Amino acid sequence: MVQQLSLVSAIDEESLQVFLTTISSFTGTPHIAFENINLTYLPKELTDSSLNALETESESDKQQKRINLSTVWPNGDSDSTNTNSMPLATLLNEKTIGWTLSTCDIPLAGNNNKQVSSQAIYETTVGETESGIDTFMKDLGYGCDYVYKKKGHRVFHPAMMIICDIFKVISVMTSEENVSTEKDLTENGYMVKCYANIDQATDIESIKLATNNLIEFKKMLQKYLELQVPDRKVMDFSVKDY
Amino acid sequence: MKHVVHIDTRDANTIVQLSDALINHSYSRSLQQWSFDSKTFRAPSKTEQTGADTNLVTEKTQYFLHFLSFNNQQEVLVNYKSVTSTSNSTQEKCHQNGIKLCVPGNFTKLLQNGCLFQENLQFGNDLIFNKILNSNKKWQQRQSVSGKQGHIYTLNKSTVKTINVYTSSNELKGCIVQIDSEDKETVNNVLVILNLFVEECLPKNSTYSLLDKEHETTDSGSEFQTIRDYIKFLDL
Repeated sequence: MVQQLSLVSAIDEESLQVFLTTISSFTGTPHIAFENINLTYLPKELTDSSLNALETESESDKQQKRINLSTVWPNGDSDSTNTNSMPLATLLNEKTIGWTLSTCDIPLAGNNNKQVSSQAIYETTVGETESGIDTFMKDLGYGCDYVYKKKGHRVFHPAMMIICDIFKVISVMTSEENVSTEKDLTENGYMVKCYANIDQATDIESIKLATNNLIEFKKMLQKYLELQVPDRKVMDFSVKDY
Repeated sequence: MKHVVHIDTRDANTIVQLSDALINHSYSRSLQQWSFDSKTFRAPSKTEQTGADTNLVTEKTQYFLHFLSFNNQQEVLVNYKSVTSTSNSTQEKCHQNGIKLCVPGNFTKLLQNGCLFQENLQFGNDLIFNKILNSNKKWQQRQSVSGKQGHIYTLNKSTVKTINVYTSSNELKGCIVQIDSEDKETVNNVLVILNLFVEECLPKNSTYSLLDKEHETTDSGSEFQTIRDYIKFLDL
């Protein structure tokens, strides 16, 4: 489990170069490119609806969570003009590819958590699968809901232990003929997420320090962008209809 | 070749006495400790209504989920298809004395590309699987077997692993001794030591039995297979 403290914002497409230069000079480290693919899985009932009818909407239904599967986009290193060279289906059936499985709690509520968002993330890595990750998830009772790519730049602030991601969210749709189409959800702009990770949620001192660092970081960037606390409801992984 | 011996005992200290016997009878040394943990989950039977409108065919399927951990590796099995989940901290290659650890290939890459947030995933990080399984009403835990106080020794050309097997109610189900060797003679030597040990140190009615005579060890998943064999044999 990792406790993640974060603040978010957004910038224009045109501001990217200026912002990258600014933040690199602020932090004293160069920005690096990153690209990953994320698959969100929803619990699907293994059992027939007739069995479920006996159990009405209970607390356990609400506690069901989405699972995020994430891995490095294999074409990330090259110029991504030919994104179709590795279809999603191939990626899902690949047996030796490393995956991260993660799920989150809803960010903490309360007055103490109004300055930064504080969220618990549970994650594990899967190194090897016998029949592909998708089959495993299906057997576990989960079905793929949507797929998206995160592509952007990352800057690390070593002294403050803050990571700043500037990225685009690209939705990936796969048609029946296995042709994936991509749609930029952050059109004309980039998401900015500044965060600090703490290994233990019980490590109050580190959390305090990280919170102060994030607030400090926010002040530093005040003239360039306004970092905000994200809405905690949209950060929830629970299966609910909003 | 893999020989597995089960010593039927209810005394948790038998393994300590056995350790003494193994060390006294040869120039062996305890290399490392090991443990395993197996949890079986079951989903309620599936009622599938197939066929045309007239004749409804009801099909019942059981779903099994096994959760095994061995040293720094974890294996999750759904319907006997496996997924291996590996701790990030076991990146160094370890091929000492037949113990193979899975080397995670691109976990650093995952970390760099924002897929993973934790640098040191601790062993036993089955929290996420537990969370998934507990929040998901269809999976119910049925069985839990664990191996504790395990030691691994090298005797001449063979590797000897010992472990105490407990059930979920913490009842000792006996001590398991596993001998891995290519050489028949060394295996026999270890068996002689075991024989002597059972005769000398254990109560008269104690028995020991050979679990699996010649089991080929080729694939990396065999450790898990052995653990499954243990459980099957002990009828847990």
